[in-house]
Amino acid sequence: MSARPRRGLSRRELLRLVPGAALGATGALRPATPPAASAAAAAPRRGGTFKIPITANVTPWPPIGLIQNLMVNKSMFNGLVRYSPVDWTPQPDLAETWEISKDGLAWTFHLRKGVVWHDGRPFTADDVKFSLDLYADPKVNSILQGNLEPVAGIEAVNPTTVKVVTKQPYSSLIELLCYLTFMMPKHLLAGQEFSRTKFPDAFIRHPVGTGPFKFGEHIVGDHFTVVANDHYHEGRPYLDSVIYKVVRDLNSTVVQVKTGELDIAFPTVAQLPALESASNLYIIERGLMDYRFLGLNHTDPKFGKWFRDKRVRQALAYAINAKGIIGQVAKGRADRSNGPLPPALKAWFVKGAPVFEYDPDKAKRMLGEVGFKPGPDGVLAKDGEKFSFAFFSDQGQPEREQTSLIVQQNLKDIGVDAQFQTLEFNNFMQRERVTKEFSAVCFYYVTPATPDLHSYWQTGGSTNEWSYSNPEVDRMFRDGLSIFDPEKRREHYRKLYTLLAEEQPVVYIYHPHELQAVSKKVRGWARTDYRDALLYLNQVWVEA
Amino acid sequence: MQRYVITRIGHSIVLLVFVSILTFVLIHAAPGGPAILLAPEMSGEQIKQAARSLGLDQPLPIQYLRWLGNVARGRLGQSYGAGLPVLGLIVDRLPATLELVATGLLLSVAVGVLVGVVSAIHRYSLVDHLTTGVAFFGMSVPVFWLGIMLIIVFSISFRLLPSAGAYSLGASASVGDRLAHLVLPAVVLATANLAQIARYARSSMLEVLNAEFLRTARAKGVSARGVIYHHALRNALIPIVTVVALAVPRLVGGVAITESVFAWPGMGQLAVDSALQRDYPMIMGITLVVSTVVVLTNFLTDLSYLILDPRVELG
Repeated sequence: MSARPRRGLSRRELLRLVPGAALGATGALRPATPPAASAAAAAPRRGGTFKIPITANVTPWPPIGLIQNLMVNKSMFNGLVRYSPVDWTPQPDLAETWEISKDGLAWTFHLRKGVVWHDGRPFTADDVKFSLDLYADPKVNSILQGNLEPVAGIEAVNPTTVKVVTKQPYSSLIELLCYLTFMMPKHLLAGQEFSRTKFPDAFIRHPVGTGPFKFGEHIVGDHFTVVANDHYHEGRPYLDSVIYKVVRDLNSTVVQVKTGELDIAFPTVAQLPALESASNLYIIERGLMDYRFLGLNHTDPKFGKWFRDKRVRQALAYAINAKGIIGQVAKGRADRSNGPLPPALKAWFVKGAPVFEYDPDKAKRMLGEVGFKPGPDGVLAKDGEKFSFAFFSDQGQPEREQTSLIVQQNLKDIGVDAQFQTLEFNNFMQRERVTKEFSAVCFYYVTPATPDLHSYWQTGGSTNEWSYSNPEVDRMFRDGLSIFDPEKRREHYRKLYTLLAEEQPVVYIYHPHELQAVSKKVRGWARTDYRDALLYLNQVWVEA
Repeated sequence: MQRYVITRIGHSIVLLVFVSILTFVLIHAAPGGPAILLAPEMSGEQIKQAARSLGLDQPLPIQYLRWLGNVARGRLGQSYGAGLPVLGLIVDRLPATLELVATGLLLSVAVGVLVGVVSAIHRYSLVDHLTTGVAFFGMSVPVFWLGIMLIIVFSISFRLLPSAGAYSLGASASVGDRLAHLVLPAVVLATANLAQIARYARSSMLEVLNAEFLRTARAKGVSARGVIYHHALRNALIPIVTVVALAVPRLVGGVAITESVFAWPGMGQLAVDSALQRDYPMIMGITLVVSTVVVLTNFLTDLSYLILDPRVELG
């Protein structure tokens, strides 16, 4: 929140919008209190509908992920544990308590009693075993397969006790179980064949979970409605229903939240001016697990040999004006990034990790020391090869396009010729994930709230698109898994993320804040990013 | 007649196969794969495995023939995006699109013919020039721009009409509510065609007004009004039928954009969504249904000439 935005809302205006709000370190706002006129805290009202936008068709089948699906799944299903809306620490959900064996290999979960599925059948340890086995099954090809890979076996000890045994100590298991690991009903799914693309037909037509809302109606491509579950174990939710409306275009969501056709929207900074006049909305800013970066392909046939050189990566980091990008592109609503963990993740963010502040002269000098010399056209070259590559971003994302243009200019200033191109999203993903036909990309990542991001940075990690490889980093991620003591663990990861910041496997640029435009009628919306706020929809109510 | 119908059906089937091949090649030529394979948490290896399970690793001709074989057996496959059978999804969405297209068509024909006839009778008057100007504007204005402008004026500024959807979600259904949602998209959809129909109606009316049999009618002492309504209009209808028939494919095309702008829960929006998501089975299914509708319309138009105009003979 350092730079004062030129357009959009200033701090003062934000404070005026949300009476009694104060900005915390991450720019998150305290709860919106009712205006003074209704000073007496109104009792939550039962009834009403909450309308949320989603951007694509829904398949309510947890193993396949995808944002629109998980937004819907969070209202209908529960996990064993879930992220706290305050600091993302694991909190009880269907598991009330858990303990870890001395050797760190066995986790015992004690389940909440009296939980029933939407069809009235009791929820038991068998369902937990069934769900975790399903997510871990390579045939199912679920998005959680990597997270559960270290699990050796799951045992339903008795109806309310589950034991999870791991191949080696796995201290981040509890944090990863908070991440989209929804419990599913064994009695409706057992004995069927699933794959990444083959779903249980009857179940996705009428999904059954344990969550605060039950399936209501699904008009494919138009809306997905869930209705209050009268038998929810934390009590019936206040809302009668939640409607997820498919609105393909972000500008339309902004229009509809202004007209009241939606109750919430997630605008970009560029859309804030359009919302300034809307007196029916609060504009809220939240930290979230999201980092923006310039990703480098360390195995690129031509430039990989340079990207593998730490000095080159650091020089690129010095060359890029991250503060300028935060000011211009994010209008100050972002934090400078020193790695994948944002300041909002207070428990794990490393305050003192190195940040490469904009210094083009130093960047030039460093590249000179590596052996790059400017050619007649001003482009740096080494051994007769020009430092001239294409980098990609996904189409239709103004923030990433603007960031890329600044990066292109910054690199040009030090003699690195990086040509920016946008690619249509599916094409982009195909190149970046599957065929690896890229030298560099300007992109983003949303990760689970855990310091154990080994799959992103370890050699051969399943989401290590950069093919980054460093034995020291590998060792530290491995060692981190056998540290359970919170203090020691914090210290270990502090060292690890200090090293990673030093290393700059990719050039870390910024952590954006999430903007939420919320109708003033809405109360009890959790004070966190929307993906996690959706876990607490049972506490939301709307004024008449 | 019978032989004519059979040949026409044969032609239609060949045409539909051709269209489906073209669509198949086009969507597979688009870079990037189906969105279902692109969850951010998936590794490259997982993506490859999923593509194999969808048969996307097979050569294109094989994939196409497999699709065609399924169609011949009445199977359109399963949508990637929704995980449900394609045919059911199309059937679910068809009524909303028909509602919009039918309203748009009625609106454009009724208003278009009226405007065209009035212009023809009062040729070169102020009325004529005014309608000509408006018609040109309607023909040239892009559908999406007009839609967005109407939303800004009527939904945001005046709060008169809803900006999206076919009905208010979460409210009890009412005819008034549905009509309110229908107004803007139907007007946008009708505008382009309305202009064209008005121009056609005007020129064919003029042609008829100057025709010999009208002189005869006037000479026989039929009143001016009688001339226009009993003799002129009926003959002027034939080219208008052609225009309406031509308007159907245009409406079907326009409806995709209109539905996207107004988030109308019909086939057009489904088609756009499916294209963006690279939902191959869904795109192929929609293409097949829509092209069948268009081919059928042309066929019915040709048959209606036989009925309307005694001079048309089967060649």
